[in-house]
Amino acid sequence: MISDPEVIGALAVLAGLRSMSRRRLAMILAVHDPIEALESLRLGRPLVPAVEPRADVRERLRVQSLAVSASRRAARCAEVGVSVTVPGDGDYPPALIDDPERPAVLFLRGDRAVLADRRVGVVGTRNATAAGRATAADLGARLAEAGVSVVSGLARGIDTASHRGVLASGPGRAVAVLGNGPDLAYPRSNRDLLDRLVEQHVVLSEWPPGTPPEAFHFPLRNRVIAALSEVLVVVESRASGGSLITARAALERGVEVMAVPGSPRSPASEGANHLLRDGAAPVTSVNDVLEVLSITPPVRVAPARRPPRSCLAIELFEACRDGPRSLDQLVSGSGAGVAPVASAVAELVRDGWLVDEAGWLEVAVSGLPP
Amino acid sequence: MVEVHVGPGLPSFTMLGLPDESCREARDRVRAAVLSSGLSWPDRRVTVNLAPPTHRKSGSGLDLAIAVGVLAATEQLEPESLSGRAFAGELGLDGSVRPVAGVAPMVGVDPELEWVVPSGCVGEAAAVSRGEVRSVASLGELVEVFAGRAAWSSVSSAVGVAHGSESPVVVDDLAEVRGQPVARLALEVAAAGGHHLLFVGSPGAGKTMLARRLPGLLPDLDHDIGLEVTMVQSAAGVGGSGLVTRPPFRAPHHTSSAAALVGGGSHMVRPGEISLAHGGVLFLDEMGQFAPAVLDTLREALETGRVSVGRVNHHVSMPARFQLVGATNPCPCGEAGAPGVCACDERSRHRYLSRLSGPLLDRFDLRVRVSRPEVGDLLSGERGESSAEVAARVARARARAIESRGMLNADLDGEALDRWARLDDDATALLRSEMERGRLTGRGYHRVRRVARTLADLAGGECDSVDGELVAAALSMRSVFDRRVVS
Repeated sequence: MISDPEVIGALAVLAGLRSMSRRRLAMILAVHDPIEALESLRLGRPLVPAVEPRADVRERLRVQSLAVSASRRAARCAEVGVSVTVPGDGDYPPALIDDPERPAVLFLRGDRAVLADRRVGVVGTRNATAAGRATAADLGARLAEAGVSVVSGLARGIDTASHRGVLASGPGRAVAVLGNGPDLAYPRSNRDLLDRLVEQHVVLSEWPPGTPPEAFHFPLRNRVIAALSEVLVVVESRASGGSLITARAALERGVEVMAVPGSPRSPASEGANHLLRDGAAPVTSVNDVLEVLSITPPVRVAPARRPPRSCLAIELFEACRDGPRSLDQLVSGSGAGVAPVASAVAELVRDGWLVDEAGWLEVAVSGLPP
Repeated sequence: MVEVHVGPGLPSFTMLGLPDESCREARDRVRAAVLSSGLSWPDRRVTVNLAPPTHRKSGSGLDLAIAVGVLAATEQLEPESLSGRAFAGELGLDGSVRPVAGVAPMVGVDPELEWVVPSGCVGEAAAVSRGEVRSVASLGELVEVFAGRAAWSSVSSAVGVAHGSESPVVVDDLAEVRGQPVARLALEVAAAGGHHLLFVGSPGAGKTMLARRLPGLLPDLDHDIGLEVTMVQSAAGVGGSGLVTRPPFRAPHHTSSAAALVGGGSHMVRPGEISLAHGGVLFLDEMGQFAPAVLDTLREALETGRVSVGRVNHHVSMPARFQLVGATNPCPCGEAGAPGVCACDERSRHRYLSRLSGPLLDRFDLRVRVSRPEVGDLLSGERGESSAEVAARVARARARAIESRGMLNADLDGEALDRWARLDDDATALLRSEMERGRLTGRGYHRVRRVARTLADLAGGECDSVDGELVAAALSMRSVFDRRVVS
């Protein structure tokens, strides 16, 4: 861990420059001391010759670096409890040291020790189905139960579900890799989740506090997730989703990629199914994942749910098994009136058999047997 | 009131009393009409005063009165024959008398007089008048009648009475709607309880088709409301003939301005869409696309049932008690947020719907998701219940509500609900679990009970409580905008 506030400030300024690509940053820091690099940049002095042949980019970097104060950046890091680490530093995550695209600097919040545990990445689409989110939450909880840390990206949908699954369980903990400063929650609705993760888990980012999310940050963030994972599980992904970028990065690094099979009719599972077709191992239960990690699964008992009371309720539940149904479809299909169907559905939702997703009714149970 | 003075001086024609351009042109129309009718125009100084002189006058409705005034002043008509009579209508250059907008409200100012109106306006005038209504087709005919050489053209005694002589209005029938049981029920409930209704559904799901069928489920207007509707329609120049008995249906486009909705005009206030929908249904398709300021203007009307238009010189209050039916896409892509199908993420979905948020949304007791009909339903050829059958049930439910509670269920407040919509154990348990999961707010709680009360009325329940099934059905018709969509 770096303790000199001057160095922290310089690193935070350099890593936060909009025009500073991660590659460029790595090249600069490989040759220069951060304080010296920042000074050269501000004075317009040439850095490593290979770093920036283009004068306009150099000028942009100069202007951007003059706009922020290193001491204020350092103060901000101290204020939000961010520690800064670079390769070669004792605290740099061992899993990333040998990575060909390792981050040149990392900003961490929370308990660094989490990174020493066994780690499984759980990623997927932001616009997930209820079943997908339930699967991700289940995976998160069960992996944590087996003492495995779960790496994900704090995005909407699958990421959020897997983090929450971990939080609800233990002793395994969560690793959140962000595409923005570690002090910002993106999406904002995950503010509480971020706060809880910082308390006992770990949040890390390549960008200093205060950096807003940018679209081009996320593929970079995904490579860190891949590099940190021993096994990567794709829960749900569209045909061209960010999670496929993570999967590709994992394959490049020799990380085992697994995918949760979905219905061929569900666009949300298209990407995951393509991975399966291309040879990824299917995840049909959490044990499949634990097996790859050579961990013996803990024994557990499934909680009992109140069984549906009426024939109509069972019929409606069965109808929802084939995919999300609207109330209209259920009423038309059952031949019963709106009131009895609505009442039976309300009961199924209350007892946890179905979930109501903005008017679409889905089976609540995930595909994962205990 | 029109006063005409014909006196010595250079031949001229002067109009006093702030006539605007369209009104001032009466000078040439009246002169041409008088001459074309074979009458003579005085070669003297003609002064017309439109009293009261401080208000601006607009339009061509005073033509006939001015012409009659000139003829009386030049003694081509017996001045006594004008007493107790009033005239409204526009003149053509050939002397014909043409219909104008706003005859009904004009008659309403003094319904005891004997009104002489263009034959096209007899219906609406008769609906409002308490005296005789005379129809006249041309200025020449009028002079003949006053001279005793002809009789008034007969006005059918049926005109202006309820239903009038016009053919019954063709309304869209509910039987043409295939499938969509929840939306059908929502329409029935809206009609029976007077609840405002919001449809949320993808393009092509049939939101407009459904909304158009609401007026057909509503009962006939009572006489007073019918009279108001007749007046408003006449003032806007969209009236048919006779007293309006069926609830109107208005569907302004989402590019409408605030003035188009509430009404306006610089010196002659024209009723807006919300007044034209008085007593009937105002349908706002693509509600999220209306300018927020335009939607805001609806709130006063929803609150008070009237709308007031203020201008520098005058202030007009018009009736606007309508039933609001809104329709919106569920998200920018229109795919209804179906899990795994919709391309929009939750934030853009939320942002899209939040254009409607706030006090206006609070008005909708019913918020129903409409999905495209099932292929099976479309092809089955099976017709649903007809509007007439549903309307009969609606009429019974409304009668029951009015009889026992003195108002429609949409107007029930919390206290009345405690009295008339007591919850049985099942219903209480259901609502409690909804509230515990944060899916139901205090206001939502009242709305659900109001709708459940209407469902009970429709089912013919006499007792003062509602059971779990009805509450579940009511819940299913308001589940679209809950917080869960956002979280």
